[in-house]
Amino acid sequence: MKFDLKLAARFLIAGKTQTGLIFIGIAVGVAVLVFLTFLISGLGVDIIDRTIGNSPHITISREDRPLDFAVRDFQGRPVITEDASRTTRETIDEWQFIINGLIGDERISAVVAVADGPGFIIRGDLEEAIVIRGMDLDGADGIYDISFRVVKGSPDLIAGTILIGTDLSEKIKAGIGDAVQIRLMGEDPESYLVGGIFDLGVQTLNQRWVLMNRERAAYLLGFENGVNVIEAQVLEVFQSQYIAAEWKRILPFFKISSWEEANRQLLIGLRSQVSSSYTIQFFVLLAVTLAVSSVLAISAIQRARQIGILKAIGIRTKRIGRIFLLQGAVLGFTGSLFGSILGVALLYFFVSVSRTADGDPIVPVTVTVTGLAVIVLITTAAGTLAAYFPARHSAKLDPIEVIRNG
Amino acid sequence: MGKMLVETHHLVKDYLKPTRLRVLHGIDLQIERGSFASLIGASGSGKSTLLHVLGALDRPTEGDVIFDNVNLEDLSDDELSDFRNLKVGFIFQFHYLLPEFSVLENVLIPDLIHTDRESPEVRKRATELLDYVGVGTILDKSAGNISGGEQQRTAIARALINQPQLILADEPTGNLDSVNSDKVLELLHKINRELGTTILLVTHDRSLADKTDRIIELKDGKVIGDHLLK
Ligand SMILES: Nc1ncnc2c1ncn2[C@@H]1O[C@H](COP(=O)(O)OP(=O)(O)OP(=O)(O)O)[C@@H](O)[C@H]1O
Ligand SMILES: [Mg+2]
Repeated sequence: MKFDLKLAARFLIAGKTQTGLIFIGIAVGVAVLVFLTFLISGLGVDIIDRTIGNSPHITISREDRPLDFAVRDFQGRPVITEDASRTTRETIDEWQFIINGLIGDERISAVVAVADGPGFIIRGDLEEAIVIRGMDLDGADGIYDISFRVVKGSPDLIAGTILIGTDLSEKIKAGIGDAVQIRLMGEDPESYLVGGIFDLGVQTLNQRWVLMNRERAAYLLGFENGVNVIEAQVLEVFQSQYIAAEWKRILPFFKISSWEEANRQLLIGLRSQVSSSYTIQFFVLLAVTLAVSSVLAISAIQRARQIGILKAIGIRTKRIGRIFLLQGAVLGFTGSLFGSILGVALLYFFVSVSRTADGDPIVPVTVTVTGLAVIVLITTAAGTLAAYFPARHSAKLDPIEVIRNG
Repeated sequence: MGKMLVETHHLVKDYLKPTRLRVLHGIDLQIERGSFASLIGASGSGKSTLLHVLGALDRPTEGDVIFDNVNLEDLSDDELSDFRNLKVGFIFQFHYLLPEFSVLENVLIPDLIHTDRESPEVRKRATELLDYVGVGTILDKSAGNISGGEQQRTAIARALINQPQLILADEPTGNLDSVNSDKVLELLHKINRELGTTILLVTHDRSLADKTDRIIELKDGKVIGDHLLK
């Protein structure tokens, strides 16, 4: 094997123009491959992060659709219409138990119990339909990053204070320390102080969400210290539907849904992006394979004399094949190694020139060693495969032909 | 150990393409250990074909080659490769060195083929052999950049590196001028004398054949003469 490798290397070095050209060809192809692969996966990660980075991946509730309500305009005032199933606000009495179970699942990264229900916020003669969200700050931070997203005031959810979104704050003209009233449909209003204003980056949430202490919200919503929704985030976002399905088996009487079910369109978009990336990878690899194959086919003819003499002096047939396979592998390996470096350099260049006004990269590209290793491995395999026919051709060569014809 | 290194029994060789052609017509031959025989005959008489069959480069259509008490027919293709590597040394008219390697490396190749590792002892022997054949001063030159005579000497050293029992030389001087060709022939005699290697030399040149121990003459694939000279 060592000698075979030496022969392969010598043959490659001896045909330096050809070897050089094919090496550059592979390197350029792989550089494009690396660039596109990481760019596209960066884009995918970015889209996923923007879409579900700060929202629950798995939602557990008793109701059919906990957040399914509609805000309608009724004689100039907003009215929330509830569907029949919501009128019986079923709570999850064993929520503590479920939460402990979820925390014990190492695939799950964050869990929060929420007392969630519709209501109205009133300030002066301004009234807006809202969604009351009662949760612990710790849990809320795990998924929504509330502390980080409070732009004014304090994120502390002490009883009697609430956090409202930036858009709602503008609509009802309420700032930090201002008193507001909250009431449920057909009930008397209660007073609260605005303790903080958040910006969750999503307009509907900034307009509708009112965050408060969980116990307080439960009391307000008549849950008797219970919650009606449990939300969780998972480490591997694309695993959430499987994890949800597993938990459904443990908790058959609950409605357990994953973000994937709610975001079919986004998923289709992401998948088609990934498959377009695969298509590009496939064609780049095909081009590399064909190039290596044709160069080695020429090399096999040029080295016929050497092959013949090696066979005459006793090299076994299959080793001749191996020498050509090794040439393909060496070309694929070195070319893709160099191409990877080139591709990564290209990525860094791209990331450094394309930045937002804040100086952040437009696309957050993360180059992984594993990703590069996979590309190098696949290209090496493609190079080896490409050498198959030249290798077979050479191995079959009859030394006597060579010896007779000089 | 028998007296004969190689025996053939009724060797027949047919080429099937372009049309069926019988090149060797039942050759019975015995080659004694340590002898230096020459094979002569007109062009097309089958000399090279016989040499290739004797050296296991080609299989006969009929008949047997018994080499050192082993019937080559019983060997697989891989075993024939190993046989060529270890038991015979080929020297051809065209020198067939690998131009990608140096003179010394070319000599090491037959050893590397079967050991797959470089050893200092073999390297030393290769250097000595190159000295012995008279090209000890160009070890590191590329084999593609040396003269025809130097190439043939290197090829002889390569043929000797695995200490074969038989050297098969097919017109080794055919491409050399008379000075070089005399030197190469002298070298073969020296190898036969000093190392005891059995040599079979194919040549057109009657005067070269006259200096060997025995002349075997082929015509149309048959042995028509076999004379011991010493
Ligand atoms: N591969 C082959 N296919 C068909 N015929 C062949 C083949 N090799 C050799 N021959 C024929 O076999 C005959 C013997 O050839 P061979 O090379 O053994 O002769 P030779 O005595 O060595 O001749 P020369 O002195 O010219 O080298 C010739 O007629 C040649 O044309
Ligand atoms: Mg001949």
